[in-house]
Amino acid sequence: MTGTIVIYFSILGMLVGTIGMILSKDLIKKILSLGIVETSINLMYTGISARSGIIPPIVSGDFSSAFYADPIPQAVIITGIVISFALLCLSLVFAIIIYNRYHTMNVETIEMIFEREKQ
Amino acid sequence: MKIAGIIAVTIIFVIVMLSFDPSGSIPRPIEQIVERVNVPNAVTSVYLEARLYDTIFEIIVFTVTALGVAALLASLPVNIDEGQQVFGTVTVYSGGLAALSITLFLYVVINGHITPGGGFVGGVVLATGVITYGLTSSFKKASLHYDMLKIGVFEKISFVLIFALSTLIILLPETHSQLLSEAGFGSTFSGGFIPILNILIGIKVYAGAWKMSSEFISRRGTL
Amino acid sequence: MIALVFLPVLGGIVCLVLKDRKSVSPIVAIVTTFASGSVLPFVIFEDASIILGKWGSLGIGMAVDEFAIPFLLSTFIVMLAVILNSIKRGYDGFFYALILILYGTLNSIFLSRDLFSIFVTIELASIISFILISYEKKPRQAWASLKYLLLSSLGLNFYLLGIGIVYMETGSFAMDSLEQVSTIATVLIFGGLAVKSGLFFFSMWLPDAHSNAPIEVSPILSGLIVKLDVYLSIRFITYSSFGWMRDTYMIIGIVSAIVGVIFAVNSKNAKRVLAYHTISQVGFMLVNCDKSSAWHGFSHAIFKTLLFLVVGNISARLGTKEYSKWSGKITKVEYAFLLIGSLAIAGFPMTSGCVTKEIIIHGACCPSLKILLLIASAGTAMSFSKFIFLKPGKSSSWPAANTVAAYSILSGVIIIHGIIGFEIYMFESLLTVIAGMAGYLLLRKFLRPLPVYFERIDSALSSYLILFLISIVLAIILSS
Repeated sequence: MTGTIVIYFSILGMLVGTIGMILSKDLIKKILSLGIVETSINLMYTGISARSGIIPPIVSGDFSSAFYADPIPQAVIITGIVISFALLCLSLVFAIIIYNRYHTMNVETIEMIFEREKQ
Repeated sequence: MKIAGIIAVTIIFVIVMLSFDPSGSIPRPIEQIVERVNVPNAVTSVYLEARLYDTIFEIIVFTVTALGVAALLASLPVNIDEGQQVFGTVTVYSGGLAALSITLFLYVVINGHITPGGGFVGGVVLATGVITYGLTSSFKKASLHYDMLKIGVFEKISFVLIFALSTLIILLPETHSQLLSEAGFGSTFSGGFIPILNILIGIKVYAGAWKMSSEFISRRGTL
Repeated sequence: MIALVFLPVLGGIVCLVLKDRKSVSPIVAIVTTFASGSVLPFVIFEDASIILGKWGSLGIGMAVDEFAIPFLLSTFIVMLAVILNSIKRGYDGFFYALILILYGTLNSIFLSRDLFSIFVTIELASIISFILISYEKKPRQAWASLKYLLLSSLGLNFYLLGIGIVYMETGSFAMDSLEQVSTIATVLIFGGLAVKSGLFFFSMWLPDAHSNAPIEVSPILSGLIVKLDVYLSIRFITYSSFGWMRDTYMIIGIVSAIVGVIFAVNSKNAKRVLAYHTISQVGFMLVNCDKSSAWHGFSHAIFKTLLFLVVGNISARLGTKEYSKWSGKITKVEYAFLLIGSLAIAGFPMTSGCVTKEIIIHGACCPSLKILLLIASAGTAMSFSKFIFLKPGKSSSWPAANTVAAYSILSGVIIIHGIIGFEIYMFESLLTVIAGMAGYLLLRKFLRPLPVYFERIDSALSSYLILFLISIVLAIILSS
């Protein structure tokens, strides 16, 4: 039961994050909305792991009777968290390079500058 | 165009929510895993034994990102010479927090196969403690420890060792399973090469996180 | 088989550790590339499939079969040519380390049989390409890379959502469990990977990213990383739950092929022309997904690499990317290699492009599809007549030795492949080439650059999501 509710909320979180990515005009807000989407995916995998039970999978002694949580999605999402941390850092580096040259974070201004520069 | 995109996204997620049913057969692989690896923590034995191949690539991701951030920001100017605003009580607490996080790092990383924890958690704990100390008390002192303790050299050595050990474990699985089944269940020395891998991953994650954060802070300057 | 993945990564680590000595790294890079190339025949000629550590359905599996062979070969040849071209340019050790690690990662994707392992390795390849695109630290490159980052991460999060549903329904991450999975999971996997392919409305980050990248990075992006989605689509279509994808790809592929050519004909920047042609050629590949698409992927990688290297070297020497200013200034040797590349992509007989394109057109399922493919092919020839009709200058000095070595390896493979696979019905491609050239000579005055409205970031996001919705609706209709 816990797992199912968590999975539905995580899909709601992904919807909010994607709408945020489309609607925001500021570069930092787009990057933060991407962070919301990735956090919701992590929540969904934890919910999948909680379908088999909510006791942490650290066994001690006889373990055929208790309902342990599933260890495989938890191990898999550790990799996902590290990858999303690396992507966040890299996107902030690109934002710094653009800001140092043009001194604005507004997406429409930046695109207008680039389109006028080419032709 | 934007409004069409928002409507499309809403309809996509409504369709996804309506069309999967979360009931199905629920697998229980935990008995098979613990029996084969002989270590109490099932999550550590999954990501350091059954799916070791993914963990190698994840460490490579982390290393490449840390070096890439350092290389891309290398030409921007550094400014940490101005004074740093410090409040007295915060200085005392943050020093204690840094010391506490070193102890917690050692416990979590060495006992990663008996209690919840492991290499990744330990590295993040230590990085949080040291960065908090640097932001609140004195960034110069915190960034001196990187050169004094030669953490750069340790980081490269640990990366090479992680790669070598993991390749050995993947290419010769029978030797490792013999090592695993010899020691007792639940003692600190059980688990073959798993505690060694945890310690090396902890050092690597701490060094990478510290390098990335210190590049950002030293370009912008502390408050 | 594991040696094919770990040997280049080992070479990359050696380059990382010796980062400060500039002259050692290219030698290490070439030695490692040749070493992993020599492992390749052993892998191809014994069909093996292993599961690492013998863990059954909880472990990670790797296998080789006939769909992966063209892609593995193309990776080796493209990487060799790129490393040879970049020797005297003065890159430091970090660049060669990134390229070698990318080589190992691409080999791992083409050999893997586990869904989550594919996610980790695709993210590693993407992160390396983000760093490589903005290696010269210009703001234009940083903006192109940032656009690519936002779109690619969003798409791969949809892919993870799909994999989560696969795990919920079958209990394992192995690729064989895709047989008994519901339609919504397959649509999410398809939509998530479609961002990184080069189809028209799905990936509008492509023209900016591929044309603003440095000289050696563009051929890697356009020749190898775009093919990841092609390979995975060919592999997934063999499962029965993905049967709706054939008709969807037919529609999307032919639209992509024709619209890409229309944008390319009207463009004035040489590298953007090549980037729009990548969009069109990926549409060609996905129209019928079977073995012929894999071999077209191989030959497209080779001639695209030759074209990008020649155009990049010319524009670095002359300082401008607009090809109309090049007439009279390029040397005869460069013109010769540019001619070989343009004839290969236009489909002239005796080149590898003709062989693979004719097999695709011959194997199309219905006559209306054949006519549309022939129109797209004529458009390709029309757009490359711009390069064929450039006048070479008077000088015939040879470029540096390593550049000539790279060009001749690529041209040799093009011509040998064209001669080996030639069959009699392929002479009809001469008609398309002549029609294209005639079309160019007639319409030369009317061409002007089209607006780039679809490449802004909000429009790119919205068009991706709208087409994702259309493919979900198509999937639900086609599979019920």
